[in-house]
Amino acid sequence: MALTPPGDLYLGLNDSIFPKVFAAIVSQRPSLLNYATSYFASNPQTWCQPIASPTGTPPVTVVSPLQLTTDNSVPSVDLLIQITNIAAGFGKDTVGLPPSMQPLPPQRIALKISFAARFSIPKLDPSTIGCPDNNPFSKASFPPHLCSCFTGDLFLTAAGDIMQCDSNMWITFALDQFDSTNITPAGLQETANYFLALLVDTKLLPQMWFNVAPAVIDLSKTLPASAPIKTITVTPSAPAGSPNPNIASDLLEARSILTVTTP
Amino acid sequence: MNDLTIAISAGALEDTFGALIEIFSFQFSKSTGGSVQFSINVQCHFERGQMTLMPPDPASLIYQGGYFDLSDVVIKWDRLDLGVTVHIPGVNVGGFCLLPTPWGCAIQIPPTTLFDVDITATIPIDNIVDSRLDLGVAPVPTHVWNSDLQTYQWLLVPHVVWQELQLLDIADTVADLIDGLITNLVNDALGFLPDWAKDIIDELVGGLANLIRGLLSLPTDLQAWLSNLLRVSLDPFDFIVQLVENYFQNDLSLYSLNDPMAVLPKQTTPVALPAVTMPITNVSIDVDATEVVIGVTS
Repeated sequence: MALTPPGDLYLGLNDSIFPKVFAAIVSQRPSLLNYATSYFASNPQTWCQPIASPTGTPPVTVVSPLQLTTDNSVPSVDLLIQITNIAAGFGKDTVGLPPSMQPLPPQRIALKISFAARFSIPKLDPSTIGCPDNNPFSKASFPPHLCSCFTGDLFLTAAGDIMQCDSNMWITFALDQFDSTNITPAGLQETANYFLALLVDTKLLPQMWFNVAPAVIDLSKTLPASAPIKTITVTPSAPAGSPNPNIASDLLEARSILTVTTP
Repeated sequence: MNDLTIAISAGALEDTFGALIEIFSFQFSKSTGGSVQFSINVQCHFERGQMTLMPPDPASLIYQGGYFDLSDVVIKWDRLDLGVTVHIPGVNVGGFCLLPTPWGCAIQIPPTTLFDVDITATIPIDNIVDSRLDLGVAPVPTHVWNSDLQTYQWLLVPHVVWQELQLLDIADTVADLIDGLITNLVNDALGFLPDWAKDIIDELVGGLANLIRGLLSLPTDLQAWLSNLLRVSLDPFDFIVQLVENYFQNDLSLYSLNDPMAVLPKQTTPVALPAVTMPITNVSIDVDATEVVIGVTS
């Protein structure tokens, strides 16, 4: 069956590419998957999973410690979050969504993000407390307590969209549902879900957005003046009643029509 | 299974690749050897014909894979000049009295040798030669090293898998043009003389035009003679096809993909990081009647 009708240009991305992209990021830009405060960043022995980064490439993205008060009266908390695997299914639940998210709605990408996390929380040394009437914590010591690593799986569904931005055409993705397993109780699970979703929304998904093609390709400067083509305009266009992009059967598909203008 | 599939419709290809064939222009000269040397000075460009996608045909004797059929591509002559260089051997004249009188010879023509020179003339024949080209062009995936970009690349290189020059149509006004060519040759031989002297010399050698016609060995069927000269001896068409083939296969790519391919662009802030790349293990192409499908596998 022809792929392009009723348009001229078809782009199909198979979800088979996802593990390959993930493997490339793990080996070439691990800082996209690993977030740590400077304490964890400088102590590789504390990482939940070892990170092999190429020479000159930072293994982690350094983030600020969690500051609980504005006056620093409570020492900040260090954290480490490592994304250990990402699996994706385009239009198909190939990642094993939890019952709360089944069935996968039409035109969605199912994602499973496995993570490991760890906190280092300062613990007051009671022997360092001073006199209560003279700022008892002024000389207090808070040696860090390194909590154990814990792991979880965050499941997400994302929808796609085609956006025309000036002279470029982008395919973008945004979350619509998410849930996690391995975390209890419910309140903590919800907190972890939203915390991780915030990271995914702002750091991970934008990396998946891709520029399909320039919306207008100006050939007037690259071709001789005698050329019979001046510009090629790419406009999203799909069969009537069919979504564009179309996310189904392991594929993310986008269709466009091309319009050629002559000098 | 392809990781990435790109398809382009036949209509879009006709509007782009089919039209872009008009940007090709050629300029060259060719000549023959021998005592009579013909030369051709060519400047031409293409005007598009029709483009049709031809699906694979295992029964085809010429090419079994899918290809682009570019038919009725007009070779538009911006300049098509036919040149002739002919050596006129020495002709002995004189040694007689041009004006005898009872008292002796008033004007004695001394014995001398005329010519023994090469003469050259050129005429434009662009308006009498009409020719068209059919090309079968198959896009072939090729893995090459790009030394400018310092990376391997997958290219879809158009290979000319067959070509056919449609019958050369030479207008029947060719006889007038050949007459003009011979007139030009005569002028080249005698151009330095005043008209009255040209007439005398022409008379002395028994008609220089006839002499040149004899040297050129011109047959009665001038259309067939010129056709044979252009298609066999000078053959600019074969040269044009060679130029097209060389350009297609060495300078033109319908699609290119770096190997490895960048999946995340390089980062400049807050830390400079190189692009994240993936190897491309295969690029395939399928041509059917409605579209061309490019498959990319990492």
